[in-house]
Amino acid sequence: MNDKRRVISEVEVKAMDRISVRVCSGTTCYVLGGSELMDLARTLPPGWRDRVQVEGAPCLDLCRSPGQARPPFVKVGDRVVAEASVEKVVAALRELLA
Amino acid sequence: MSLDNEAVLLKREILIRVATLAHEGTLTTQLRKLPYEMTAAGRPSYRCCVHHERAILRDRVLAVLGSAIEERDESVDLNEAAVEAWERTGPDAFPLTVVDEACKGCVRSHFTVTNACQGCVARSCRNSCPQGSIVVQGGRASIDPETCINCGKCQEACPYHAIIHLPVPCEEACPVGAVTKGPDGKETIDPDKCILCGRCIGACPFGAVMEKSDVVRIVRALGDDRPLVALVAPSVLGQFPGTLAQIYGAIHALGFIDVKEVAEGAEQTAAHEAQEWAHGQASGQAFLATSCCPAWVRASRAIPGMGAFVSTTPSPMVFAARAARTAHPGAQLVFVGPCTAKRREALDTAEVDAVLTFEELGALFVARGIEVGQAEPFPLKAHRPEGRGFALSGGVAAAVAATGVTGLKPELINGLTRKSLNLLKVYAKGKGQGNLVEVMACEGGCVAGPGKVCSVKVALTHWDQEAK
Repeated sequence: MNDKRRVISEVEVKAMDRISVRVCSGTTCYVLGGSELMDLARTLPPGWRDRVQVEGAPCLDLCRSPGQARPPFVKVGDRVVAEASVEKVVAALRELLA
Repeated sequence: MSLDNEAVLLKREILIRVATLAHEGTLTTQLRKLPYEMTAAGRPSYRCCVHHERAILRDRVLAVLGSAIEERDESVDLNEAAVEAWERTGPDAFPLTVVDEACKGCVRSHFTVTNACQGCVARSCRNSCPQGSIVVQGGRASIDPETCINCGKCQEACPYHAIIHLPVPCEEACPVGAVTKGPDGKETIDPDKCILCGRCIGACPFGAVMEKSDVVRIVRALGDDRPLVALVAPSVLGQFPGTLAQIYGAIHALGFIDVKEVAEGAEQTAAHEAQEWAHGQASGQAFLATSCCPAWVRASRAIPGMGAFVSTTPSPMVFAARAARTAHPGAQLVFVGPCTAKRREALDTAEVDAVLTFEELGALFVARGIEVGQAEPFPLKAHRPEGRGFALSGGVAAAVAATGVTGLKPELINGLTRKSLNLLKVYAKGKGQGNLVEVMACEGGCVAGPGKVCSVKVALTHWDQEAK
Protein backbone atom coordinates (compact mmCIF):
# COMPACT_ATOMS: atom_id res chain seq x y z
CA MET A 1 0.00 0.00 0.00
CA ASN A 2 2.68 2.39 1.10
CA ASP A 3 4.82 1.53 -1.90
CA LYS A 4 2.03 2.28 -4.34
CA ARG A 5 1.39 5.69 -2.82
CA ARG A 6 5.05 6.56 -3.18
CA VAL A 7 5.04 5.67 -6.91
CA ILE A 8 2.00 7.85 -7.60
CA SER A 9 3.53 10.88 -5.96
CA GLU A 10 6.67 10.44 -8.02
CA VAL A 11 4.59 10.49 -11.21
CA GLU A 12 2.88 13.61 -9.99
CA VAL A 13 6.17 15.30 -9.27
CA LYS A 14 7.36 14.36 -12.74
CA ALA A 15 4.21 15.87 -14.29
CA MET A 16 4.76 19.09 -12.36
CA ASP A 17 8.31 19.25 -13.67
CA ARG A 18 7.14 19.20 -17.24
CA ILE A 19 7.47 22.49 -19.05
CA SER A 20 4.13 23.60 -20.36
CA VAL A 21 4.01 24.87 -23.95
CA ARG A 22 0.73 26.62 -24.67
CA VAL A 23 0.10 27.38 -28.34
CA CYS A 24 -2.45 30.16 -28.76
CA SER A 25 -5.31 28.90 -30.91
CA GLY A 26 -7.04 32.24 -31.08
CA THR A 27 -8.19 33.29 -34.55
CA THR A 28 -5.64 36.12 -34.85
CA CYS A 29 -2.66 33.91 -34.04
CA TYR A 30 -3.95 31.13 -36.28
CA VAL A 31 -4.46 33.43 -39.27
CA LEU A 32 -1.08 35.13 -38.80
CA GLY A 33 0.93 31.95 -39.03
CA GLY A 34 -0.04 30.05 -35.87
CA SER A 35 -1.73 27.36 -37.96
CA GLU A 36 1.71 25.95 -38.66
CA LEU A 37 2.34 25.39 -34.95
CA MET A 38 -0.56 23.00 -34.57
CA ASP A 39 1.56 19.90 -34.92
CA LEU A 40 4.39 21.31 -32.81
CA ALA A 41 4.21 18.34 -30.41
CA ARG A 42 5.09 15.95 -33.21
CA THR A 43 8.07 17.98 -34.39
CA LEU A 44 9.83 18.19 -31.00
CA PRO A 45 12.85 15.95 -30.41
CA PRO A 46 11.60 12.56 -29.13
CA GLY A 47 13.83 12.80 -26.04
CA TRP A 48 11.82 15.79 -24.82
CA ARG A 49 8.44 14.12 -24.86
CA ASP A 50 8.18 13.37 -21.17
CA ARG A 51 9.69 16.71 -20.16
CA VAL A 52 7.47 18.95 -22.26
CA GLN A 53 3.69 19.24 -22.31
CA VAL A 54 2.34 20.84 -25.51
CA GLU A 55 -1.27 21.97 -25.60
CA GLY A 56 -3.50 24.24 -27.65
CA ALA A 57 -4.94 27.12 -25.65
CA PRO A 58 -7.89 29.39 -26.30
CA CYS A 59 -6.87 32.98 -27.12
CA LEU A 60 -4.16 33.94 -24.59
CA ASP A 61 -5.16 37.60 -25.07
CA LEU A 62 -1.59 38.57 -25.91
CA CYS A 63 -2.57 40.07 -29.28
CA ARG A 64 -4.63 42.70 -27.45
CA SER A 65 -1.89 43.75 -25.06
CA PRO A 66 -0.09 47.00 -25.92
CA GLY A 67 3.39 46.91 -27.39
CA GLN A 68 5.10 45.82 -30.56
CA ALA A 69 5.04 42.06 -29.91
CA ARG A 70 3.27 40.36 -32.78
CA PRO A 71 1.35 37.11 -33.23
CA PRO A 72 1.47 34.18 -33.33
CA PHE A 73 2.12 33.70 -29.61
CA VAL A 74 3.27 30.66 -27.67
CA LYS A 75 3.84 30.50 -23.91
CA VAL A 76 6.82 28.34 -23.00
CA GLY A 77 6.56 28.04 -19.22
CA ASP A 78 6.12 31.67 -18.15
CA ARG A 79 7.91 33.01 -21.16
CA VAL A 80 6.04 34.56 -24.09
CA VAL A 81 7.39 33.74 -27.52
CA ALA A 82 6.11 36.28 -30.09
CA GLU A 83 6.11 35.77 -33.87
CA ALA A 84 6.49 32.15 -32.88
CA SER A 85 7.81 29.47 -35.16
CA VAL A 86 8.72 25.87 -34.43
CA GLU A 87 12.39 26.92 -34.40
CA LYS A 88 11.82 29.73 -31.87
CA VAL A 89 9.85 27.47 -29.52
CA VAL A 90 12.52 24.79 -29.72
CA ALA A 91 15.20 27.41 -28.93
CA ALA A 92 13.21 28.63 -25.89
CA LEU A 93 12.76 25.05 -24.66
CA ARG A 94 16.43 24.28 -25.15
CA GLU A 95 17.34 27.14 -22.82
CA LEU A 96 14.87 25.98 -20.16
CA LEU A 97 15.88 22.34 -20.40
CA ALA A 98 19.62 23.06 -20.29
CA MET B 1 3.96 29.56 -48.35
CA SER B 2 2.89 30.41 -44.86
CA LEU B 3 5.13 31.14 -41.93
CA ASP B 4 8.13 31.04 -44.23
CA ASN B 5 6.93 33.90 -46.43
CA GLU B 6 6.69 37.15 -44.49
CA ALA B 7 5.09 38.89 -47.48
CA VAL B 8 2.03 36.66 -46.97
CA LEU B 9 1.82 37.69 -43.32
CA LEU B 10 2.14 41.39 -44.24
CA LYS B 11 -0.77 41.05 -46.65
CA ARG B 12 -2.86 39.32 -43.99
CA GLU B 13 -2.09 42.05 -41.48
CA ILE B 14 -3.27 44.69 -43.97
CA LEU B 15 -6.44 42.69 -44.65
CA ILE B 16 -7.12 42.55 -40.91
CA ARG B 17 -6.45 46.26 -40.41
CA VAL B 18 -8.61 47.29 -43.36
CA ALA B 19 -11.46 44.96 -42.35
CA THR B 20 -11.28 46.28 -38.77
CA LEU B 21 -11.45 49.93 -39.86
CA ALA B 22 -14.28 49.13 -42.29
CA HIS B 23 -16.21 47.33 -39.56
CA GLU B 24 -15.66 50.17 -37.09
CA GLY B 25 -16.78 52.73 -39.66
CA THR B 26 -13.46 54.62 -39.62
CA LEU B 27 -12.03 53.39 -42.92
CA THR B 28 -12.57 56.68 -44.74
CA THR B 29 -11.04 58.79 -41.95
CA GLN B 30 -8.26 56.59 -40.55
CA LEU B 31 -6.91 54.56 -43.47
CA ARG B 32 -4.33 57.23 -44.34
CA LYS B 33 -2.46 56.38 -41.12
CA LEU B 34 -2.08 52.68 -41.87
CA PRO B 35 1.31 52.78 -43.66
CA TYR B 36 2.67 54.90 -40.79
CA GLU B 37 1.37 52.57 -38.10
CA MET B 38 2.86 49.59 -39.87
CA THR B 39 6.28 51.26 -40.04
CA ALA B 40 6.37 52.37 -36.38
CA ALA B 41 9.57 51.91 -34.40
CA GLY B 42 10.35 48.26 -33.68
CA ARG B 43 8.58 46.99 -36.78
CA PRO B 44 10.60 44.91 -39.22
CA SER B 45 11.82 46.77 -42.27
CA TYR B 46 12.44 45.18 -45.63
CA ARG B 47 13.29 48.09 -47.93
CA CYS B 48 15.98 50.71 -48.38
CA CYS B 49 14.18 53.31 -46.28
CA VAL B 50 10.97 53.93 -44.41
CA HIS B 51 9.61 56.06 -47.26
CA HIS B 52 9.86 53.26 -49.78
CA GLU B 53 8.39 50.87 -47.21
CA ARG B 54 5.39 53.18 -46.77
CA ALA B 55 4.95 53.70 -50.52
CA ILE B 56 4.73 49.94 -50.97
CA LEU B 57 2.40 49.47 -48.01
CA ARG B 58 0.18 52.17 -49.44
CA ASP B 59 -0.02 50.29 -52.75
CA ARG B 60 -0.73 47.04 -50.91
CA VAL B 61 -3.61 48.77 -49.14
CA LEU B 62 -4.95 49.91 -52.52
CA ALA B 63 -4.96 46.29 -53.74
CA VAL B 64 -6.80 45.24 -50.58
CA LEU B 65 -9.33 47.98 -51.40
CA GLY B 66 -9.83 46.29 -54.77
CA SER B 67 -7.90 48.76 -56.95
CA ALA B 68 -5.62 48.03 -59.88
CA ILE B 69 -2.22 49.42 -58.84
CA GLU B 70 -1.25 49.81 -62.50
CA GLU B 71 -3.97 52.39 -63.01
CA ARG B 72 -3.59 54.40 -59.81
CA ASP B 73 -2.38 57.94 -59.66
CA GLU B 74 0.51 58.06 -57.19
CA SER B 75 -0.92 61.09 -55.47
CA VAL B 76 -4.17 59.37 -54.53
CA ASP B 77 -5.05 59.71 -50.86
CA LEU B 78 -5.90 56.49 -49.00
CA ASN B 79 -8.93 58.00 -47.27
CA GLU B 80 -10.33 59.01 -50.65
CA ALA B 81 -9.53 55.56 -52.07
CA ALA B 82 -11.45 54.12 -49.11
CA VAL B 83 -14.52 56.18 -50.03
CA GLU B 84 -14.28 54.83 -53.56
CA ALA B 85 -13.93 51.24 -52.30
CA TRP B 86 -16.90 51.66 -49.99
CA GLU B 87 -19.05 52.86 -52.92
CA ARG B 88 -17.84 50.19 -55.35
CA THR B 89 -20.64 48.04 -56.77
CA GLY B 90 -18.55 45.11 -57.99
CA PRO B 91 -15.00 43.83 -58.39
CA ASP B 92 -12.68 44.40 -61.36
CA ALA B 93 -12.92 41.81 -64.13
CA PHE B 94 -9.22 40.95 -63.78
CA PRO B 95 -8.52 40.03 -60.14
CA LEU B 96 -4.71 40.32 -60.05
CA THR B 97 -2.49 43.37 -59.82
CA VAL B 98 1.27 43.90 -59.70
CA VAL B 99 2.55 46.26 -57.02
CA ASP B 100 5.30 47.65 -59.21
CA GLU B 101 6.92 49.51 -56.29
CA ALA B 102 7.32 46.13 -54.58
CA CYS B 103 8.49 44.30 -57.71
CA LYS B 104 12.23 43.85 -57.55
CA GLY B 105 12.50 43.82 -61.33
CA CYS B 106 14.58 40.62 -61.13
CA VAL B 107 17.20 40.32 -63.85
CA ARG B 108 16.24 38.04 -66.69
CA SER B 109 16.43 34.35 -65.76
CA HIS B 110 20.05 33.29 -66.30
CA PHE B 111 23.02 31.17 -65.26
CA THR B 112 25.95 32.82 -63.58
CA VAL B 113 29.38 31.74 -62.31
CA THR B 114 29.83 32.49 -58.60
CA ASN B 115 33.10 33.17 -56.78
CA ALA B 116 33.17 29.49 -55.80
CA CYS B 117 34.75 28.96 -59.26
CA GLN B 118 38.27 27.55 -58.85
CA GLY B 119 39.39 28.19 -62.43
CA CYS B 120 40.20 24.48 -62.62
CA VAL B 121 42.17 22.68 -65.30
CA ALA B 122 39.23 20.42 -66.18
CA ARG B 123 37.37 23.29 -67.91
CA SER B 124 34.22 21.11 -67.67
CA CYS B 125 31.94 24.13 -67.99
CA ARG B 126 33.58 25.41 -71.14
CA ASN B 127 33.70 21.94 -72.67
CA SER B 128 30.03 21.23 -71.94
CA CYS B 129 28.76 24.50 -73.44
CA PRO B 130 27.15 23.94 -76.86
CA GLN B 131 27.34 27.65 -77.63
CA GLY B 132 30.97 28.36 -76.82
CA SER B 133 29.70 31.01 -74.39
CA ILE B 134 32.17 30.31 -71.60
CA VAL B 135 35.66 31.75 -71.32
CA VAL B 136 38.11 31.29 -68.46
CA GLN B 137 40.12 34.39 -67.76
CA GLY B 138 42.14 35.40 -64.72
CA GLY B 139 41.45 32.09 -62.99
CA ARG B 140 37.68 32.37 -63.29
CA ALA B 141 35.03 31.24 -65.77
CA SER B 142 32.42 33.65 -67.11
CA ILE B 143 29.35 33.25 -69.30
CA ASP B 144 28.64 35.53 -72.23
CA PRO B 145 24.97 36.50 -71.73
CA GLU B 146 24.61 37.43 -75.43
CA THR B 147 25.17 33.90 -76.73
CA CYS B 148 24.09 31.77 -73.71
CA ILE B 149 20.87 29.82 -74.38
CA ASN B 150 20.17 28.97 -70.69
CA CYS B 151 20.54 25.23 -71.25
CA GLY B 152 22.17 24.67 -67.85
CA LYS B 153 24.76 22.13 -69.04
CA CYS B 154 27.63 24.10 -67.45
CA GLN B 155 25.85 24.01 -64.10
CA GLU B 156 25.64 20.23 -64.27
CA ALA B 157 29.25 19.94 -65.39
CA CYS B 158 30.93 22.12 -62.74
CA PRO B 159 32.64 19.90 -60.15
CA TYR B 160 32.49 22.72 -57.55
CA HIS B 161 28.77 23.56 -57.97
CA ALA B 162 30.02 27.07 -58.68
CA ILE B 163 27.42 27.86 -61.35
CA ILE B 164 23.94 28.82 -60.23
CA HIS B 165 20.63 29.47 -61.92
CA LEU B 166 19.00 32.78 -61.00
CA PRO B 167 15.32 32.48 -61.86
CA VAL B 168 12.56 35.06 -62.12
CA PRO B 169 10.30 33.27 -59.63
CA CYS B 170 6.94 34.63 -60.83
CA GLU B 171 7.71 33.92 -64.50
CA GLU B 172 8.93 30.46 -63.61
CA ALA B 173 5.78 29.72 -61.60
CA CYS B 174 3.43 30.80 -64.39
CA PRO B 175 2.42 27.70 -66.39
CA VAL B 176 1.19 29.68 -69.39
CA GLY B 177 3.80 32.40 -69.90
CA ALA B 178 1.43 35.22 -68.91
CA VAL B 179 3.96 36.95 -66.63
CA THR B 180 6.63 38.89 -68.52
CA LYS B 181 8.77 41.99 -68.10
CA GLY B 182 7.68 45.38 -69.27
CA PRO B 183 10.17 47.89 -70.72
CA ASP B 184 11.08 49.07 -67.19
CA GLY B 185 12.03 45.54 -66.10
CA LYS B 186 9.00 45.25 -63.84
CA GLU B 187 6.63 42.33 -64.29
CA THR B 188 3.27 42.59 -65.98
CA ILE B 189 0.50 40.00 -66.30
CA ASP B 190 -1.25 39.49 -69.63
CA PRO B 191 -4.94 39.23 -68.66
CA ASP B 192 -5.78 37.32 -71.84
CA LYS B 193 -3.18 34.62 -71.30
CA CYS B 194 -3.50 34.46 -67.49
CA ILE B 195 -5.53 31.51 -66.18
CA LEU B 196 -5.79 32.99 -62.65
CA CYS B 197 -4.20 29.97 -60.97
CA GLY B 198 -2.54 32.41 -58.56
CA ARG B 199 0.86 30.68 -58.54
CA CYS B 200 2.70 33.96 -59.09
CA ILE B 201 1.17 35.38 -55.89
CA GLY B 202 2.93 32.83 -53.72
CA ALA B 203 6.01 32.59 -55.91
CA CYS B 204 7.12 36.23 -55.72
CA PRO B 205 9.57 36.60 -52.81
CA PHE B 206 8.69 40.31 -52.65
CA GLY B 207 4.93 39.78 -52.47
CA ALA B 208 4.50 42.00 -55.52
CA VAL B 209 1.58 40.13 -57.05
CA MET B 210 -1.62 40.74 -55.15
CA GLU B 211 -5.30 40.00 -55.50
CA LYS B 212 -7.75 42.87 -55.73
CA SER B 213 -9.79 42.11 -52.65
CA ASP B 214 -13.53 42.57 -52.38
CA VAL B 215 -13.43 42.54 -48.58
CA VAL B 216 -14.57 46.14 -48.06
CA ARG B 217 -17.66 45.60 -50.20
CA ILE B 218 -18.51 42.50 -48.16
CA VAL B 219 -18.09 44.33 -44.84
CA ARG B 220 -20.49 46.93 -46.18
CA ALA B 221 -22.95 44.29 -47.43
CA LEU B 222 -22.92 42.61 -44.00
CA GLY B 223 -24.25 45.85 -42.54
CA ASP B 224 -26.92 46.35 -45.22
CA ASP B 225 -30.54 45.20 -45.10
CA ARG B 226 -30.21 42.66 -47.90
CA PRO B 227 -29.39 39.29 -46.33
CA LEU B 228 -26.19 37.43 -47.16
CA VAL B 229 -25.73 33.69 -47.60
CA ALA B 230 -22.26 32.10 -47.52
CA LEU B 231 -21.42 29.19 -49.83
CA VAL B 232 -18.36 27.56 -48.31
CA ALA B 233 -15.92 25.40 -50.27
CA PRO B 234 -15.06 22.01 -48.73
CA SER B 235 -11.37 23.01 -48.53
CA VAL B 236 -12.25 25.19 -45.49
CA LEU B 237 -11.51 22.28 -43.17
CA GLY B 238 -8.37 23.10 -41.15
CA GLN B 239 -8.23 26.70 -42.35
CA PHE B 240 -9.30 27.86 -38.88
CA PRO B 241 -9.15 26.43 -35.39
CA GLY B 242 -12.13 24.38 -34.28
CA THR B 243 -14.36 21.89 -36.01
CA LEU B 244 -16.07 22.27 -39.38
CA ALA B 245 -19.37 22.99 -37.60
CA GLN B 246 -17.64 25.70 -35.53
CA ILE B 247 -16.15 27.35 -38.62
CA TYR B 248 -19.66 27.44 -40.09
CA GLY B 249 -20.93 28.79 -36.77
CA ALA B 250 -18.32 31.56 -36.85
CA ILE B 251 -19.37 32.53 -40.40
CA HIS B 252 -22.98 32.61 -39.21
CA ALA B 253 -21.90 34.86 -36.32
CA LEU B 254 -20.50 37.36 -38.86
CA GLY B 255 -24.08 38.01 -39.95
CA PHE B 256 -24.63 35.55 -42.80
CA ILE B 257 -28.24 34.35 -42.46
CA ASP B 258 -27.35 30.91 -43.77
CA VAL B 259 -24.16 28.96 -44.45
CA LYS B 260 -24.25 26.32 -47.18
CA GLU B 261 -21.73 23.62 -47.94
CA VAL B 262 -20.55 23.76 -51.55
CA ALA B 263 -19.91 20.03 -51.02
CA GLU B 264 -23.65 19.58 -51.62
CA GLY B 265 -23.27 21.16 -55.05
CA ALA B 266 -20.23 18.95 -55.60
CA GLU B 267 -22.40 15.86 -55.24
CA GLN B 268 -24.61 17.19 -58.05
CA THR B 269 -21.54 17.99 -60.17
CA ALA B 270 -20.29 14.42 -59.73
CA ALA B 271 -23.66 12.90 -60.65
CA HIS B 272 -23.98 15.08 -63.81
CA GLU B 273 -20.37 14.54 -64.80
CA ALA B 274 -20.79 10.74 -64.45
CA GLN B 275 -23.79 10.89 -66.82
CA GLU B 276 -21.92 13.10 -69.25
CA TRP B 277 -18.95 10.73 -69.13
CA ALA B 278 -21.14 7.66 -69.79
CA HIS B 279 -22.84 9.39 -72.75
CA GLY B 280 -19.49 10.43 -74.16
CA GLN B 281 -18.09 6.91 -73.86
CA ALA B 282 -21.17 5.47 -75.57
CA SER B 283 -20.73 7.86 -78.48
CA GLY B 284 -17.03 7.09 -78.86
CA GLN B 285 -15.50 10.16 -77.18
CA ALA B 286 -11.90 9.49 -76.12
CA PHE B 287 -12.14 11.11 -72.69
CA LEU B 288 -13.86 13.68 -70.54
CA ALA B 289 -11.93 16.39 -68.68
CA THR B 290 -13.43 17.69 -65.42
CA SER B 291 -14.71 21.26 -65.22
CA CYS B 292 -14.82 22.20 -61.54
CA CYS B 293 -11.42 23.98 -61.51
CA PRO B 294 -11.97 27.41 -63.11
CA ALA B 295 -8.24 27.97 -63.71
CA TRP B 296 -8.13 24.76 -65.71
CA VAL B 297 -11.27 25.70 -67.67
CA ARG B 298 -9.51 28.96 -68.64
CA ALA B 299 -6.31 27.09 -69.53
CA SER B 300 -8.21 24.56 -71.64
CA ARG B 301 -9.37 27.32 -74.00
CA ALA B 302 -5.80 27.83 -75.18
CA ILE B 303 -5.24 24.14 -76.00
CA PRO B 304 -6.27 23.45 -79.61
CA GLY B 305 -8.90 20.71 -79.79
CA MET B 306 -9.42 20.48 -76.02
CA GLY B 307 -12.78 22.30 -76.01
CA ALA B 308 -14.72 19.23 -77.18
CA PHE B 309 -13.45 17.19 -74.23
CA VAL B 310 -14.04 19.56 -71.31
CA SER B 311 -17.17 18.79 -69.33
CA THR B 312 -20.03 21.27 -69.61
CA THR B 313 -21.33 20.29 -66.17
CA PRO B 314 -21.64 23.34 -63.91
CA SER B 315 -19.20 23.63 -61.03
CA PRO B 316 -20.11 22.77 -57.42
CA MET B 317 -20.25 26.53 -56.69
CA VAL B 318 -22.89 27.01 -59.40
CA PHE B 319 -25.05 24.12 -58.20
CA ALA B 320 -24.76 25.32 -54.61
CA ALA B 321 -25.66 28.87 -55.69
CA ARG B 322 -28.77 27.73 -57.54
CA ALA B 323 -30.00 25.81 -54.48
CA ALA B 324 -29.28 28.80 -52.25
CA ARG B 325 -31.19 31.19 -54.56
CA THR B 326 -34.23 28.94 -54.33
CA ALA B 327 -33.95 28.68 -50.56
CA HIS B 328 -33.22 32.39 -50.05
CA PRO B 329 -34.64 34.46 -52.91
CA GLY B 330 -33.38 38.03 -52.71
CA ALA B 331 -30.28 37.18 -50.68
CA GLN B 332 -26.76 38.02 -51.84
CA LEU B 333 -24.57 34.95 -52.26
CA VAL B 334 -20.92 34.98 -51.22
CA PHE B 335 -18.66 32.13 -52.26
CA VAL B 336 -15.96 31.46 -49.66
CA GLY B 337 -12.93 29.51 -50.87
CA PRO B 338 -9.17 29.55 -51.48
CA CYS B 339 -9.37 30.32 -55.20
CA THR B 340 -8.35 33.31 -57.34
CA ALA B 341 -9.98 31.98 -60.52
CA LYS B 342 -13.32 31.66 -58.71
CA ARG B 343 -13.45 35.47 -58.59
CA ARG B 344 -13.68 35.47 -62.35
CA GLU B 345 -15.99 32.45 -62.54
CA ALA B 346 -18.35 34.33 -60.21
CA LEU B 347 -18.41 37.31 -62.58
CA ASP B 348 -18.66 35.24 -65.76
CA THR B 349 -21.50 32.99 -64.56
CA ALA B 350 -23.23 35.72 -62.50
CA GLU B 351 -24.39 32.92 -60.18
CA VAL B 352 -22.87 34.40 -57.01
CA ASP B 353 -22.55 38.04 -55.98
CA ALA B 354 -19.12 38.09 -54.36
CA VAL B 355 -16.09 35.94 -53.56
CA LEU B 356 -14.18 35.85 -50.30
CA THR B 357 -10.93 33.95 -49.79
CA PHE B 358 -10.14 32.09 -46.57
CA GLU B 359 -7.51 34.72 -45.77
CA GLU B 360 -10.13 37.44 -46.16
CA LEU B 361 -12.64 35.48 -44.09
CA GLY B 362 -9.96 35.22 -41.39
CA ALA B 363 -9.54 39.01 -41.51
CA LEU B 364 -13.30 39.42 -40.98
CA PHE B 365 -13.21 37.06 -37.99
CA VAL B 366 -10.35 39.00 -36.42
CA ALA B 367 -11.99 42.37 -37.17
CA ARG B 368 -15.10 41.20 -35.34
CA GLY B 369 -13.25 39.47 -32.50
CA ILE B 370 -14.79 36.10 -33.36
CA GLU B 371 -12.95 33.17 -31.78
CA VAL B 372 -13.61 30.31 -34.18
CA GLY B 373 -12.42 27.71 -31.66
CA GLN B 374 -15.12 28.89 -29.22
CA ALA B 375 -17.89 29.38 -31.79
CA GLU B 376 -21.32 27.80 -31.48
CA PRO B 377 -21.42 24.86 -33.94
CA PHE B 378 -23.71 25.40 -36.93
CA PRO B 379 -25.92 22.41 -37.79
CA LEU B 380 -24.51 20.77 -40.92
CA LYS B 381 -26.63 18.64 -43.20
CA ALA B 382 -25.87 14.95 -43.44
CA HIS B 383 -23.70 14.43 -46.49
CA ARG B 384 -21.77 11.83 -48.39
CA PRO B 385 -17.98 12.16 -48.05
CA GLU B 386 -17.49 12.38 -51.84
CA GLY B 387 -18.69 15.99 -52.01
CA ARG B 388 -16.14 17.20 -49.49
CA GLY B 389 -13.49 15.15 -51.28
CA PHE B 390 -13.57 17.64 -54.19
CA ALA B 391 -11.09 19.72 -52.19
CA LEU B 392 -8.30 17.18 -52.68
CA SER B 393 -6.58 15.94 -55.82
CA GLY B 394 -8.26 12.71 -56.84
CA GLY B 395 -11.49 13.64 -55.11
CA VAL B 396 -13.49 14.49 -58.21
CA ALA B 397 -12.54 11.28 -59.99
CA ALA B 398 -13.37 9.34 -56.81
CA ALA B 399 -16.79 11.03 -56.61
CA VAL B 400 -17.54 10.19 -60.25
CA ALA B 401 -16.46 6.58 -59.61
CA ALA B 402 -18.68 6.42 -56.51
CA THR B 403 -21.78 7.05 -58.65
CA GLY B 404 -21.36 3.49 -59.89
CA VAL B 405 -20.25 4.06 -63.51
CA THR B 406 -18.11 1.22 -64.88
CA GLY B 407 -15.00 1.21 -67.06
CA LEU B 408 -13.59 4.43 -65.61
CA LYS B 409 -9.87 4.98 -66.23
CA PRO B 410 -9.02 8.20 -64.40
CA GLU B 411 -5.88 10.25 -65.02
CA LEU B 412 -5.15 12.80 -62.31
CA ILE B 413 -3.51 16.08 -63.25
CA ASN B 414 -2.38 17.20 -59.80
CA GLY B 415 -1.27 20.77 -60.48
CA LEU B 416 -1.10 22.79 -63.69
CA THR B 417 2.51 23.28 -64.74
CA ARG B 418 4.20 23.62 -68.10
CA LYS B 419 4.85 19.89 -67.95
CA SER B 420 1.31 18.82 -67.11
CA LEU B 421 -0.07 21.21 -69.74
CA ASN B 422 2.06 19.40 -72.29
CA LEU B 423 0.48 16.11 -71.24
CA LEU B 424 -2.95 17.70 -71.64
CA LYS B 425 -1.99 18.81 -75.16
CA VAL B 426 -1.24 15.15 -75.92
CA TYR B 427 -4.71 14.27 -74.63
CA ALA B 428 -6.31 16.90 -76.87
CA LYS B 429 -4.79 15.07 -79.84
CA GLY B 430 -6.60 11.91 -78.70
CA LYS B 431 -3.43 10.18 -77.50
CA GLY B 432 -4.08 9.91 -73.76
CA GLN B 433 -4.33 6.75 -71.66
CA GLY B 434 -7.20 7.65 -69.34
CA ASN B 435 -10.85 8.27 -70.17
CA LEU B 436 -11.58 10.67 -67.31
CA VAL B 437 -9.04 13.44 -66.81
CA GLU B 438 -9.38 15.20 -63.49
CA VAL B 439 -7.54 18.52 -63.56
CA MET B 440 -6.73 20.64 -60.53
CA ALA B 441 -4.56 23.71 -61.02
CA CYS B 442 -3.15 23.60 -57.49
CA GLU B 443 -0.90 20.75 -56.36
CA GLY B 444 -2.80 18.76 -53.79
CA GLY B 445 -6.14 20.23 -54.85
CA CYS B 446 -8.10 23.24 -53.63
CA VAL B 447 -6.58 22.92 -50.13
CA ALA B 448 -3.45 24.36 -51.77
CA GLY B 449 -5.27 27.36 -53.27
CA PRO B 450 -3.61 30.80 -53.22
CA GLY B 451 -6.16 32.18 -50.72
CA LYS B 452 -5.57 29.47 -48.12
CA VAL B 453 -4.67 30.24 -44.50
CA CYS B 454 -2.70 27.17 -43.46
CA SER B 455 -0.22 24.95 -45.27
CA VAL B 456 -1.46 21.86 -47.06
CA LYS B 457 0.31 19.70 -44.49
CA VAL B 458 -1.63 21.22 -41.60
CA ALA B 459 -4.91 21.12 -43.54
CA LEU B 460 -4.43 17.42 -44.25
CA THR B 461 -4.02 16.60 -40.55
CA HIS B 462 -7.45 18.15 -39.98
CA TRP B 463 -8.81 16.10 -42.89
CA ASP B 464 -7.48 12.94 -41.34
CA GLN B 465 -9.19 13.83 -38.08
CA GLU B 466 -12.55 15.02 -39.37
CA ALA B 467 -13.36 14.43 -43.00
CA LYS B 468 -13.97 10.74 -42.57
